[in-house]
Amino acid sequence: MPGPAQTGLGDQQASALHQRCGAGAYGLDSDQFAAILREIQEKYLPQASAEEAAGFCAALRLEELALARACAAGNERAWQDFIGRYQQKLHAMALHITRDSVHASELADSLFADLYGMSTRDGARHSKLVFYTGRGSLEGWLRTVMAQEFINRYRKQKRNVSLDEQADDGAQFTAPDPEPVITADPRLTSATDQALAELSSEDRYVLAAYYLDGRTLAEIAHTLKLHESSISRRLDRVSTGLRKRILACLRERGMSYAQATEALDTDVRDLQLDIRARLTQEPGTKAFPGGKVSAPGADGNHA
Amino acid sequence: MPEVPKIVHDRLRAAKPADHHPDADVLTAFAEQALPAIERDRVTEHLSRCRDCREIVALGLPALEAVPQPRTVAEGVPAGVAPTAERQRNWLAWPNLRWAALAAGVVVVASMLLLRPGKPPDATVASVDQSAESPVSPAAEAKLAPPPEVQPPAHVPATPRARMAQPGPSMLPGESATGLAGRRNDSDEARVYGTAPEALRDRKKRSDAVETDKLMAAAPAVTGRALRGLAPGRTASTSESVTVAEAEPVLAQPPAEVRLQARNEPPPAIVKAKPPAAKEEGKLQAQSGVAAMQEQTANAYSASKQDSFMHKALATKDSAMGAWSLVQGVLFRAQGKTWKVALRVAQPLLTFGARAGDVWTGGQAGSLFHSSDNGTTWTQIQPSAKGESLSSDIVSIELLSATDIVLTTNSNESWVTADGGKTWEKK
Repeated sequence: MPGPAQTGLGDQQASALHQRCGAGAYGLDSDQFAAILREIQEKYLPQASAEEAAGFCAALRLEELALARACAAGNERAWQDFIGRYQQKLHAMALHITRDSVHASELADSLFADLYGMSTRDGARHSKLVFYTGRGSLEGWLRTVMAQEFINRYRKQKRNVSLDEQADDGAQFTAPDPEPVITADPRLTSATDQALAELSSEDRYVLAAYYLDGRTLAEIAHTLKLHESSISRRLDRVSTGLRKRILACLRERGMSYAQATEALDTDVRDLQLDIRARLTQEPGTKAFPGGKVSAPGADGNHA
Repeated sequence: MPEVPKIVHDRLRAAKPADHHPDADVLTAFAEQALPAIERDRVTEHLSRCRDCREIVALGLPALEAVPQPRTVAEGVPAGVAPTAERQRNWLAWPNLRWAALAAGVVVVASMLLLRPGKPPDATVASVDQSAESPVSPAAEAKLAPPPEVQPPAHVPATPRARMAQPGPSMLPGESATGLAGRRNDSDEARVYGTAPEALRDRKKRSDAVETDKLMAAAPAVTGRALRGLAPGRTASTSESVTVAEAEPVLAQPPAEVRLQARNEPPPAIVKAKPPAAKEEGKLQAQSGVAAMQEQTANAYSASKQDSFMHKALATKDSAMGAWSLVQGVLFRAQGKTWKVALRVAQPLLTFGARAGDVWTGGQAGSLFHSSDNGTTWTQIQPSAKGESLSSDIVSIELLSATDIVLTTNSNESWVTADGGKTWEKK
């Protein structure tokens, strides 16, 4: 009887990949490199066959993976190569993200410390490079990690605002938590959800990036590796089609065309916002400012 | 970009990701288009619902433009300043080229409007219209002359601009030059050299054109006023005389501008002609300007044609009895150092012929005069043949003998007499 189909990356394949990427130059032997590859394959393709695993591993950035793992292991030569390749780029990336040279230096130095592994755990350095799996370029991974770090720092700094800064910002004058959001017509909500669900994931991404995040057409096109005009046409098409589809869904839910149009164009939140603003600016006046008014002659003390 | 309903914003914002956030490797691979299609769709679905991951992906992308180098920042150069090569490329970008193309278009249109050929400036035409009624200063006359740089060929009467600005042979005092432009163009365009008679007629036409220029220059100053007091068809025997000595210095020393124009072939006849100045008008200066114009015009057209009409008209015709000159439509006779007006009629005289005391002169509208006593008395003659009278402008008179005379008109008619003007034959 034939044995069970081999799963995961084979030793020979791992050895071939080890030789191909030159990981030995950074002090990684074949077994270590094979273990790294299997770890990555198990993470992303846990049930892959040997062929699939070999194909998956062959598509990885093996040379950069070897460099990153060798750096994480503390190989001096690997660190020299890494510094020579990416130290300047890290500062440029940080400057691109922060748009501020001071913060850029701070962010780049902080990330470099994390990559080197200043923190120790169980008596060993713990480098962030150990999380690199080679699915994308090492430079792109560094940018992504730096962006995550920047967002985390921004949020952390935003949370750690002193009371004085809050006072300067007028926090004591801020309105209390808003009232529970008045939901729109449930038919409108469900119709919109249905229309959005019918869109492709990329169309929804374009809509969210443009209308929610305020990204430019060029930025969205850069993300999706498309031309800017293609994004413009897609936005035009999706926006127009989405409105028609929502109207159709509303009519399917029993609305007439006029009712559907009115429901789509009238946003109850606008009314809610006006009412809330008015209530906030004009504190409630007492209906009886003079206090309780007693009926004349009720107590019988008339002069 | 069309705006989507606010409920769409609300529902997009309310969407929550259904799975865990992708790690940095996957997001990097997504941004680098390195994910398989299935995994990419899954990441895209997550991104459409997760604002944080969208933010990370957007920040993690390389810059659209060149990332400023840290060295530049360390040197204090603003980060937004691009390298020189990029700035040079930006100058050649379409937004800049668009304005450059617009500016070039404006320049081309303006050039076409300013340099449009064949259309005289309104100011020039107006000055010609006014010249028939008022004296013209030498400066104003100079505007009507061909430019010094342009030396038109001998067979071309004038530049198109000058031809349109100048009155034609049949132009009456006060007649607008623009009204004659068509006729002038017709006669000029019909000039084709071929057989001998045609060449002769062409020479007559050129003479006509030069004479027209001369009349144009002279009419405002003298003819326009002098002829106004004469009755049409009047046979005149005038005693008006002017001294040549007063006008001689001016004519002997033409303006510098005129001398420059006469550098090709200064005709000595101009100096000898010494057209008399209108002393009664007291406008010697104006007369000198007119004379300068005449000299200028004569120099322009008599360069290669010894038999041109202008040369003949302005040149002194030495004869046994005296010299004749036709200036401003008036026939003058030289007697010693003085010039006498030999004949002045309503119709400007255009040509003359003299032979041993027998003088013939003709002008506009077929006016023809004959004097057999060297200009003392004149007789108007009306040539007619077969019931048809001569009514065209006489532009040439050739005295083949004492009795054989050939008249040429501006309509290419030839009137011939073999008996001293008693009978005529039209050819």
